[in-house]
Amino acid sequence: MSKQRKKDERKAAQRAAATRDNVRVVKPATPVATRTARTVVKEPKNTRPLTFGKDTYVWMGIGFALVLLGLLLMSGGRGEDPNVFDPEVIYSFRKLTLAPIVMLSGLGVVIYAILKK
Amino acid sequence: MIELLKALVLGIVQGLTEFLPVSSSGHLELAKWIMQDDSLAAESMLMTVTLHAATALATIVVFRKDILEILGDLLKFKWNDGTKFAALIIVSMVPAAIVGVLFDDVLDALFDRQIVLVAVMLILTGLLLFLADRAQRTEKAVDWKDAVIIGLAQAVAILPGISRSGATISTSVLLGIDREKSARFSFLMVVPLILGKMAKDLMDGDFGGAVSLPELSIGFVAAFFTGIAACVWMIKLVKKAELKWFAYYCFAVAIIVLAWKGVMS
Repeated sequence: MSKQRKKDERKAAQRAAATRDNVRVVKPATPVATRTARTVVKEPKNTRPLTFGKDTYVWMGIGFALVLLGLLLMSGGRGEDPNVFDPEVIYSFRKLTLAPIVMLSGLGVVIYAILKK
Repeated sequence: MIELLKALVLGIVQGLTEFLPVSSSGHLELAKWIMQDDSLAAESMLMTVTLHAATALATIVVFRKDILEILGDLLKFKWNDGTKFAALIIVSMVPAAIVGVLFDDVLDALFDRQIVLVAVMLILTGLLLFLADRAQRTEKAVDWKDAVIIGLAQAVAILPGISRSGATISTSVLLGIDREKSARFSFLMVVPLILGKMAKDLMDGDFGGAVSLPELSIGFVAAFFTGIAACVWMIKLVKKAELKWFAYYCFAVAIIVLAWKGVMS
C-alpha cells in the first residue's frame, strides 16, 4: 500500500468519525471578499413607499385619459349669437350626464391603479 | 399666466390645508374680510372638485396599504378588523353628513363674514391641538363610542375656524387613542365624504365659472403632491406630539384678527 493511499484512508476515517460524533467537518477556507475602498458592495436601496409599478402608471394614464375625455364632453355649447340661449345645448345629456359619468369612471380607474397590487 | 399662477396657489393651499390643522374655511373667511372681496369664494365648481379629487387621491396613495387591507377584509364577508374599521368610518361620517345635507346653506349664511367667530374658533382649534400634544401615549384603538364622538368633532369642524383634521385628531388623542391610529382614522374617514360630495357636485351639473384645462391640470398636480407631503408630515407631527406649533399659529392669527377688529371698530 502506497504512502499516499494510507494518507487518504486516514483522512476518510477521520471524516467518518467526525460525522458520527456530530462534529462539523471544517472545509478548507474559501477566500472571503473584503470591503475595500475600491470594491464597495452596493446594498440594494429600499423601495420608496410612493413608487409604483409600470402597470399602475398605465392604468393611471387610462384613468386620466377618461377624465380628460369627460372634460372634453363637458366643453362646448357656446352659441354663435350670445343673445340666444339654447337650453338643449347647455343642458344636453352629453354635458350633464355622460361627461360626469365618464369623469367619475376615470377617477375610479385612477383609484384602482393606486390600490392595484 | 395670472390664472395659471392662481391655480397653482389654489392647489398648494388646498393640499396643505386639507391635512395641516389650520382651517382652510377660516382662512378663506379672513381673506374675504381683509380683501373685502367675496369673489374669492366663488371659484369654479369644477376647480373645487378637481382640487378635492387631488387631495382624496393623495390620501389614498399615502394609506393605500391600509385601504387594501380593509378592502381585502371586507371581501371576506366576515366580521373582522377591516370590516369593523369600515363600519366605524361609516358611523363617524353620519354626523357630518347630516349637518352637511340639512344645514350647509344655513351655516354658510349664518357665519358669513363673522370674523370674531372665526378668531374664537381658531383659538378653540389651537387649544385642542395644545391639549392633544399633552395627552398620554396609549395603544388604544377606535371603538364605537369614539367613532361617534370623532364624527361629532368632524361635524363641528364645518364651522369656519375649526380645522377638520385638527379637531378629529385632537379629539381622538384626547379620547386616549393611539396617535398614529388617530391620524389614520382622521384622514381615512374623510375620503368617502369627499368622493361622495364630488360625485354629487358633478352629477348636479352646476359648473359655475369658466376654467381652462391647463388651470385644472396645474391645480390638480399642485394639490396632489402638496397633499402627499402634507399628509406624511402631519402623521409624523402627530406621532411626535409636535402639534403645538400649529396651536401657536392659530393663537397668533386669532389675536391679530381680534386686535385689528378692535382697532377698526
